[in-house]
Amino acid sequence: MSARMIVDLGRILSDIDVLRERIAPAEYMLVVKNDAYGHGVDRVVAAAAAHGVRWFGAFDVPMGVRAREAAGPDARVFSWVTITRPEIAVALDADIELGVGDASYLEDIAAVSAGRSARVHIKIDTGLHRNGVRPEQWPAFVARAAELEARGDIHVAGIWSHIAETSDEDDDRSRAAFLDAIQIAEAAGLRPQVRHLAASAAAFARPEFRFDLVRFGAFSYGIRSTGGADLPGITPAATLVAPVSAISASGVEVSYGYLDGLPSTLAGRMSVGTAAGPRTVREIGPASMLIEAWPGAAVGDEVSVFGPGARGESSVTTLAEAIGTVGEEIIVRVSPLVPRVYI
Amino acid sequence: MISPTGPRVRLSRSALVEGVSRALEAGGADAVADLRRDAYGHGVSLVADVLVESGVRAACLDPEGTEVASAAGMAAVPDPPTVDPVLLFGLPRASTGAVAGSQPVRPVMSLIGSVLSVKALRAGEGVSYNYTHIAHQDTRIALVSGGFGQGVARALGNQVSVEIRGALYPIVGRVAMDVCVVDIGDADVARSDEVIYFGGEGPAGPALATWEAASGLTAAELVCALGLRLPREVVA
Repeated sequence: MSARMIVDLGRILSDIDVLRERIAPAEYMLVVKNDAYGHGVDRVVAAAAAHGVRWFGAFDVPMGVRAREAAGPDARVFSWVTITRPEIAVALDADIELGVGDASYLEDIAAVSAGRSARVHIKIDTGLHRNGVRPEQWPAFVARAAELEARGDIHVAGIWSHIAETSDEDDDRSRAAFLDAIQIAEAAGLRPQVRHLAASAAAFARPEFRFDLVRFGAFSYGIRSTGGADLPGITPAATLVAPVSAISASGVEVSYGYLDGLPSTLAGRMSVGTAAGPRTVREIGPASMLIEAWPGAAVGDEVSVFGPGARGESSVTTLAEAIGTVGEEIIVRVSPLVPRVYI
Repeated sequence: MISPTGPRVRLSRSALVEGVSRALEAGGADAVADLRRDAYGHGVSLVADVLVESGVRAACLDPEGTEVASAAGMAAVPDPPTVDPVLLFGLPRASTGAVAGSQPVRPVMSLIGSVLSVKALRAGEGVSYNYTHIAHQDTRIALVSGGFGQGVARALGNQVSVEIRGALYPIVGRVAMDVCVVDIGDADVARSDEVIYFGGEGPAGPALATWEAASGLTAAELVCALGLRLPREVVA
């Protein structure tokens, strides 16, 4: 048996339950960009939809279309990358709601929609300076959105932003800018029903950041923030297991290496979980790694590269902290060639 | 379905032909290529095809790759590989350092993204998570497709540049899961412009060496992660 990622769907659902309870009465959105953070969008969305999740967030349209197929026609699917006209047509056919943070993109959507009242969520830039309309251009942008809505080309269903999580103070400033933007949009005649500002960390910690809807990615899969504490009731859903392929005087060789997505910079800085508990990873090669031996180790034994800790393995966030990154990067680097197995 | 604005990799057949001859000069007879992990993300079918044209007919393969390789005339063998992937795929070799006067090698793979939007950034404003970049003066920024979810390592934020319309511009702020922000100053850059992260004939050609230095990762794992995830287009 080769390396595989075991995904506990029940654990994702129980993580979702904890998050929903925490943020109620705000609604919960399951973010499934990058193949549901590497967990496999089709199975994850189907399980979540059957569990009552109503909102799904996909960065791009291909993932949004897969989420729509898995979730069924009643779910609401949101996609926010700025795309070109042919792709807008695909998105509208799949009833995907589009996040719009650029004036020329709004025009493109209206042109493709041509009377279909395409559902959009307009985005104000509250300081992150990625996607989003700058505050000084916001009044003209919402005035134009109101015109296009009156014409029946778009329907402004939501208003949203994305915060930097640099400090509580910075986030408070972003929240104030968000509230201003809502007022200006309403004064222009727009009535967006769904206001959403925060993702996992800020919404979990701070009630005033929840508004109507919260976009939860990392926490839904049990991935804590770098430098953050473990979250009560939230457990990692994925365990990456790999088999022992050889045993020598220098250690135990395991079939999983840097071409499979394990950063080579983790050599000497991480341990894996074994039947005898954690063992240090000494070397990481292209298709295998060399780890510290344990008594009774045998070819075919399985080790856990990361997971909830059942055999002493670390979480993806703990691995990430060893090399100065975030748990999300460790999990999405797992090769698409590694099979996902669902329990 | 492939998104036209999403990132993709471009594979140069001529650069691969050069890579094969470089690797064979170094390796000699009875060459065994390393085509594991879909030929380091370059695609077994393309790489096997070019190798077979040069007489290399044996490779170390994953079970998933053997059928495609065999269709190209390449046999799976149990022997360890002898063809150096660094030479074959035109990767920089950080560990040995650059030889004085030598030309940088052209990688087989280029990483391509596109400009999603362009806007102003004012002096004193921060960019992306944790505001690791603050603008010193008024400028303009482009949001560009490609992030750590596709294999643009997160460690590259504030460390590397990308090529747009033939000129280089720095990535500013943290690389996000799906996008980066690039400082374009007053350059003429528009939505949907092509962005070259590394590779090709222009100024981003040798940028993979900077990626290695900035991330500490090997070029092999950087290109493999990209090639396994993204749509691939093959050019002459």
